[in-house]
Amino acid sequence: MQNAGIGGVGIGLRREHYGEILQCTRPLDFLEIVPENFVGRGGAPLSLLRRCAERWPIAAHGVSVSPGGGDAFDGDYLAGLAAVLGDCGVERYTDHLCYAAIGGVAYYDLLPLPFCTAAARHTAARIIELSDRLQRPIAVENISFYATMPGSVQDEGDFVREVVERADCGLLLDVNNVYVNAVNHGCDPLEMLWALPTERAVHIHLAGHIREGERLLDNHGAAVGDPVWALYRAVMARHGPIPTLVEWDTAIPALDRVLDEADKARAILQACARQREVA
Amino acid sequence: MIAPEMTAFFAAMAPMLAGRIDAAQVESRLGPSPSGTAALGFYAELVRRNLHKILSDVFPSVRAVCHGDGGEGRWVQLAAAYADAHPGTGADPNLFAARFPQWLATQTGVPAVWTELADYEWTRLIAFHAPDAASDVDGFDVRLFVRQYSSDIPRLAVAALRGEAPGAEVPVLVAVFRHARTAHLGTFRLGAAGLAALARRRGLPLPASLGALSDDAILQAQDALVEAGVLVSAQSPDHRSEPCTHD
Repeated sequence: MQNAGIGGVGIGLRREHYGEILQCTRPLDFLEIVPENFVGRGGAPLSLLRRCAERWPIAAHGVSVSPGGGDAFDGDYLAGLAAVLGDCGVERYTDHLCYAAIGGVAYYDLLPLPFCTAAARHTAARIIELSDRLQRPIAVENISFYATMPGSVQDEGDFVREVVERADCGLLLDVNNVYVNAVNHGCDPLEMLWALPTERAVHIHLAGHIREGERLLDNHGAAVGDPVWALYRAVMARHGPIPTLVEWDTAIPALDRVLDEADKARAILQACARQREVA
Repeated sequence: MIAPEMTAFFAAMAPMLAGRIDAAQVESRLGPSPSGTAALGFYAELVRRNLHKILSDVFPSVRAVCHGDGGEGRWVQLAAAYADAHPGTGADPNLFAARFPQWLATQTGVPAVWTELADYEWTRLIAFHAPDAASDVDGFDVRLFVRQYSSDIPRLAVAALRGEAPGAEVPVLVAVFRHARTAHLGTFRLGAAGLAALARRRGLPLPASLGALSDDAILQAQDALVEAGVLVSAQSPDHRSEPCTHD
């Protein structure tokens, strides 16, 4: 297994690239998996993941654990998740600052919580529990949200800060989500970015979005947009190099095209590192 | 212990996300969304899209034959009715689709072949993802399934995705399996001797209809099943470690 430390720029391990990923000779610093695709499963995908883990560090980014939800965590699933994380040498588990199920019904979506202290306390306590049960540090992602929930009395940045500070966990800073949220809610992207606890960012996500009517949709189905690259540069300039993932999950193109985006991110990240060395 | 305001929040959101109440009713319980009623209600639409996408991804040929029959509307209608009857549970999104074949069989006006296509696609999915550690060496009902269909469903599944005519109805008996060595998915058409070989391997008594088959014919069929990766070789280390009770 590779050294589990995540650095540089990675991409998501997606089914569309299973046939070619092991032949990849281009720069690629780590792979990120959606662990739901592997927990409790076997066969070719798990075998491929193990081979990938021999070559690249693996990051894990869950979508169904529902850190902000009201249901008790599924113990069997967490045991399977811990096994996959251990198998691949994943040091830190990441998920979303959201809920995904209510009363045992799973919605398979990342649903926003009300921005209030009650929700922050509730979610922070569950993140701590999750971290204890997985025996790993956690980082949570700022999600894209299309509506501010009833009961909200804070803005997004204050809410995210309260959660991660109470839980003393990391932030997975999704720069595309910042941009999508800023446009959809009529805010300044940089203001929304710096309202987040970016000093706690341990990973960064970059992705594309599409326009649907008046709304931007965070669908991970396009190249990273120029305004998102601009925000990414701003984060690099303020905080220095942070491990970065390029996500492409809808209308997934050939591996080379995804790696082209990763190359762009790596150039920015490396330029930032050089500037900080000079300074 | 969940704070009362969080309990109230989840209780109000759940029926909206399931499409049973609208966003205005949520706001009447929780207060207004600062983003407006329509934006709040968009979450019910997002959930509907997600559930629809899961079914479309798991059952592409069922969706294709639906299209041929009544257009996308028919598929959307079926997907929505199924989601109402069987909401998603569990972390694995595919599990939302688990009961679709059985549910489809209970729907009036749905041709039997659609149900068989759904069963075939679901069986392939679970064979592909099955855990590696099976209760028996060959992985019966884990990575290896025997199915009898009233039509040539494996061929029809391909034809549906290509938009081709289904062809004549010919019953088929198949093994749907993940290859014992390569882990690739496969479909093996079984004759009487193949069925007998699988039954013997599983330790099941042969029905009278297969009683006339010679041992040679059954062994020959077993060799073919091993060659195709349906069965594990009796000489493999895995198989030797098991008590040899089948043959």
